[in-house]
Amino acid sequence: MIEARGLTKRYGAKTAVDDLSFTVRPGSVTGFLGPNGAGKSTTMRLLLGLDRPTSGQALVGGKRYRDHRAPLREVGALLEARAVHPGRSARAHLLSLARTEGVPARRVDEVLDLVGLTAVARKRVGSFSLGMGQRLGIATALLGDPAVVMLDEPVNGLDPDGVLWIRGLLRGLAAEGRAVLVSSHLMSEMALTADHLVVVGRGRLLADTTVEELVARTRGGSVVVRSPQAQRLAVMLAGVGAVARPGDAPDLLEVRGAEAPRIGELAARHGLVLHELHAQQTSLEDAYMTLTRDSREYLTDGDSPAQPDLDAAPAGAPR
Amino acid sequence: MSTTRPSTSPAGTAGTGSGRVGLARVVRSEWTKLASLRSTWMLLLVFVLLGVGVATLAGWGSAQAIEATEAGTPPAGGPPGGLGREALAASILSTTSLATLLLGVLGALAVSGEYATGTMTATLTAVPRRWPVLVAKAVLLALVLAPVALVVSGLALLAGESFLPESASLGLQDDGVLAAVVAHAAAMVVTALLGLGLGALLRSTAGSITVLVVVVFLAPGLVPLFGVDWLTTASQYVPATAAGSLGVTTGEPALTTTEAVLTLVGWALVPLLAGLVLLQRRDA
Repeated sequence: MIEARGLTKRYGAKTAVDDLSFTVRPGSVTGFLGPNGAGKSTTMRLLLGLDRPTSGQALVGGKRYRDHRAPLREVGALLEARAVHPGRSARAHLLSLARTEGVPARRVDEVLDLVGLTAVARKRVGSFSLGMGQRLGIATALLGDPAVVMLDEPVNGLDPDGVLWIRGLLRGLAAEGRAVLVSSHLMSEMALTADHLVVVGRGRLLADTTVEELVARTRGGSVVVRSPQAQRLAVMLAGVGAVARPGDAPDLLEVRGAEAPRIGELAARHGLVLHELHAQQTSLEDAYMTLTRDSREYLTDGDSPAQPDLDAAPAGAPR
Repeated sequence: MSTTRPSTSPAGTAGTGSGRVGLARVVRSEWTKLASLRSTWMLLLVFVLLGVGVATLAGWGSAQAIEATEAGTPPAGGPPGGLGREALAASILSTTSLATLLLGVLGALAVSGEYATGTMTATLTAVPRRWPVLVAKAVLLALVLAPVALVVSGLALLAGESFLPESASLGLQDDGVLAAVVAHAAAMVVTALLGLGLGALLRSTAGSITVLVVVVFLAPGLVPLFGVDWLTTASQYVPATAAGSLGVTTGEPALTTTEAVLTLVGWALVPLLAGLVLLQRRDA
């Protein structure tokens, strides 16, 4: 269980994380989404006590991370891929970390096997590919058999096989009752693995929701209708307050302001023929883009109460 | 990679023991790190070769000078042939400062190398209280380097002395010789700890080595040339001069025994404590 409460981190004048609150629950995969530079990595560093929050609290398993006496058993983290001395072997790297808590050497061999690095365990990490480095990072995260797993962009640099493997791994970890937090800037990747989504933009929380809710929330609400009597239907729709725009073909309409069932009933009542009637699915990417675009506009408009106008005016570059 | 396995269970069968982080465990962890780098062993090898090698050359040079003086043709600007046996022993030992610098580099790399490669993130995630990391590195360096430094210091003296004629040579059993050997070994360990402290303070290998070169090498030799009295006085409070003031000396000792010991302890501990404070306070 991870709890962020009003987490804020400023570096000088720049606010990297801004009053962020969310919870990551055991038994599920929580996707941590946001564009590059949204503050995902900083938030993870705050959760691990690597950086000190300017204000707010970061709790892992009910305590500050640094107050845990066996931290590797509490949280396993992958922050930067290949943040390992290139002259050290993968095994020695893991062993050095295992020693801090008396984790036995056979557990090191076990996680190496789990991520498929047994064959290169004694090779210097400097010779590893990006994907192998990523696997070593994941082995590091799993070393202490932790209750919470936190991975920053784990699919970066992995081949398609590896991406599939990560998805299975994450689902498996959650199924075993662990709390899993995975960051990504790719909505499509998260849609496949995450149960829950925490979306951030410019350090602020944009959404704390499920995948389905997010789509529903940002759905454009347009319905595609195909009818040989499209022009008459458009007039009828206007009569009930909906807006029908002509589509690419003469028999095609894009309708806003009325749900598909209503349009069907309306057409039936007036004896109009329909060839096609379906609600336009907003893709997750669209939903995500809408969310993050809103956050950008919110900030560049300069209406944030935390930002005095005097400072914002000369520094910002509003279009 | 073809080694992809569908396995998802990280729990496995090995179990992970049930240990809390303790200083002894962190020392073991640091030993694993130190011993698993080729650079550690290369530095130590070069340290031994350089420490004993330069002293051997110094002894041989002094022997040549003594021979020439006795033959009535003292070499111009060469090693002083007219030095006493104590001064000869002390000057042979003082040549180990070149090798000492390498131990400073080893100490600095123990921290700055972790920052440069990003390993520090993993280290501080495993030991989030932080201070045990630096304390463990210091304890480990002292434990590992003390015997090596004593051997190098002792061998340097014996190798250098072996060229000198009986009348000009001293052995370990002679007054003040063992003290000087121990003092130079202490300066070596002190320099390693100084490097460690600098690494923690500056987080940069290049920066740490620059300061080391200034303190270990330039300050004692160069600063007196400026002719500024207080600077000259200040420049004596460095590890090399402190070590040279203990046991047999080349002349009048620059520092009293108390001053010398405090100087050595100070260079070892002050940067390290400052580094410790910053490690606790700064963002990693």
